[in-house]
Amino acid sequence: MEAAKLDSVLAIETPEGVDICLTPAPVGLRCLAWVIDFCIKVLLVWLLAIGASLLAVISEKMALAGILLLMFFMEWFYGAFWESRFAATPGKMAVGLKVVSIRGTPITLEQAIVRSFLWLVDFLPFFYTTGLVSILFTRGQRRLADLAAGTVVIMAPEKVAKRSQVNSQGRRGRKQPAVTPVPPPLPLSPEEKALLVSYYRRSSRYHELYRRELAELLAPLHGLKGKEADERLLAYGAWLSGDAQEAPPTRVGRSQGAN
Amino acid sequence: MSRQQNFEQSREGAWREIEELARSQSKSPELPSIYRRMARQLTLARHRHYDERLQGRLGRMVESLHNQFYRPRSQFFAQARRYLAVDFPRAVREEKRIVGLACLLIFGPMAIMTWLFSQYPELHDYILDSATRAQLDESWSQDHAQNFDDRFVMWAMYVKNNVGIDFQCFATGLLFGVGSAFYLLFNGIYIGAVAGYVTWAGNGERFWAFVAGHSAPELMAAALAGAAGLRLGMGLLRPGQLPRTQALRESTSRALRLLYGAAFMTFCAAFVEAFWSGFFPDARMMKYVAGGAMWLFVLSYLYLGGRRRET
Repeated sequence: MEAAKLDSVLAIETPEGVDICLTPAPVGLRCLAWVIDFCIKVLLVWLLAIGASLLAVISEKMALAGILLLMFFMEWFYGAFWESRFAATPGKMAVGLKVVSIRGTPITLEQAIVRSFLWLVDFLPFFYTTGLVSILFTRGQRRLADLAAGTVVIMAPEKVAKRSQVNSQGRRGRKQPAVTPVPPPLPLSPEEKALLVSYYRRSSRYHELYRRELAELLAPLHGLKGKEADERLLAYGAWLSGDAQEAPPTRVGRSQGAN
Repeated sequence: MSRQQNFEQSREGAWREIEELARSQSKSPELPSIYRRMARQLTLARHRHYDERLQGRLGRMVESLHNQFYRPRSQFFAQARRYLAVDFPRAVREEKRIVGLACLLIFGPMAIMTWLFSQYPELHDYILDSATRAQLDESWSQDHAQNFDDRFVMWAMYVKNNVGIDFQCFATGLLFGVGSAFYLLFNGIYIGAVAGYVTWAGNGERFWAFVAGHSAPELMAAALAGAAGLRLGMGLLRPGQLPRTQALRESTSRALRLLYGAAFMTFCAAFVEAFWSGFFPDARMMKYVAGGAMWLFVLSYLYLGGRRRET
């Protein structure tokens, strides 16, 4: 896929000859998911402790034994349990991540187990240093356990769709400039199209002056300068991305269908 | 009207239905042909450079249909039974060189340290400090508590610690096997040191009667978990004809075949340790005989298990 050359997208070829695109999860989201999971684990152990002491139906010793077993489970099986059933731990679900096998198929029990047993190596020497290094230096941003299990953590497809739409509608405080889509004057290669689309998608993250500077580099395409160059590129991007078609209110029903 | 709009409008209705179908995960007999048709349409859309939104939508449809077909299925209990009866002992024999190495790494130092520490008290300081020694003296100079609740807590403790150590020993094997080798040696040395010291301090009879029962499953399991870790590291060290990532994946599934069994044995050992080893402290002969029978059982299980059934 064209986008794969610009972005960290993984393209998986299926036997039917089409590629499925997986977007590897950004490190920040994975950390956030980890924090949520950690809180859930602590909370559950804590709830069991409180519950056992309040109810007092079982002896103190039994409660202690239960807590020890629950801690053991949380340490080694929490991930395996959730990921083998739902492809994501509650933390990952909350931030919209999903674990799939590197072939794009749902993960197996064995893969889920490997991922959750090998956390210790990624943790070494302290606080997931090894895992982080591995994520930064592998294609698909995989920690060592992912490499051993043959899995990859991706953005859930529904989330990817929602995110690109949110960006293009300028929610979350990022104002997407309102542009009228204009078709590019020349036939462009797929890579060039992908580049313009991603310029349009990410425009809200960059300062206007910086965008102008970038846009002027493409003068051969549009022959404009300054603000106009930027706006023209955005117009091309909007046209190529296909978002603009959803803008008129008459087509709203359709944009909902796309999700 | 552009070509793309034409393409979309003529298929919009069908796509809505397919999206609904994909969402409900229902098993329609049409599914294979729908999937192939959608794959074709996606290829077409990409080939004609239709816009990103359309490609994304078709891509998501194809992905969810794809995953309804290419989905590995599993039957947990049937597999577990077969694993314990056949696959696990076979895996141990298949990996006999690595298992042998792991046994050497743990039992060698254990035997040597037991002998050294029971004979040469001047060595004790190197491994067991005085606080640890005092604690060992205290806990082995009296019989274990025998009420059920205490034993139950101990059982949970044994499961958490010992199975946890198995997993730890396995996981660190990913560091080219170094972690597993370290844990095997360390456990061998430490267990041997404790056994030797307790024997030297005169609490030997109580100690050996206590550990006899669960020693077989627990120590063999520790060795096998270490072997699983070494197996894991071996995939990286000696990938053979495969690229290292792939060799790692293959040796991971081979290692898991050892690890599951090891964890299960440790889990069983926790029952023995909690509900047998601490009881009848005076019937020493009986404990030794039971321990010996355990060793015989574990070794013959690993040596003979799964030899008959051919599949």
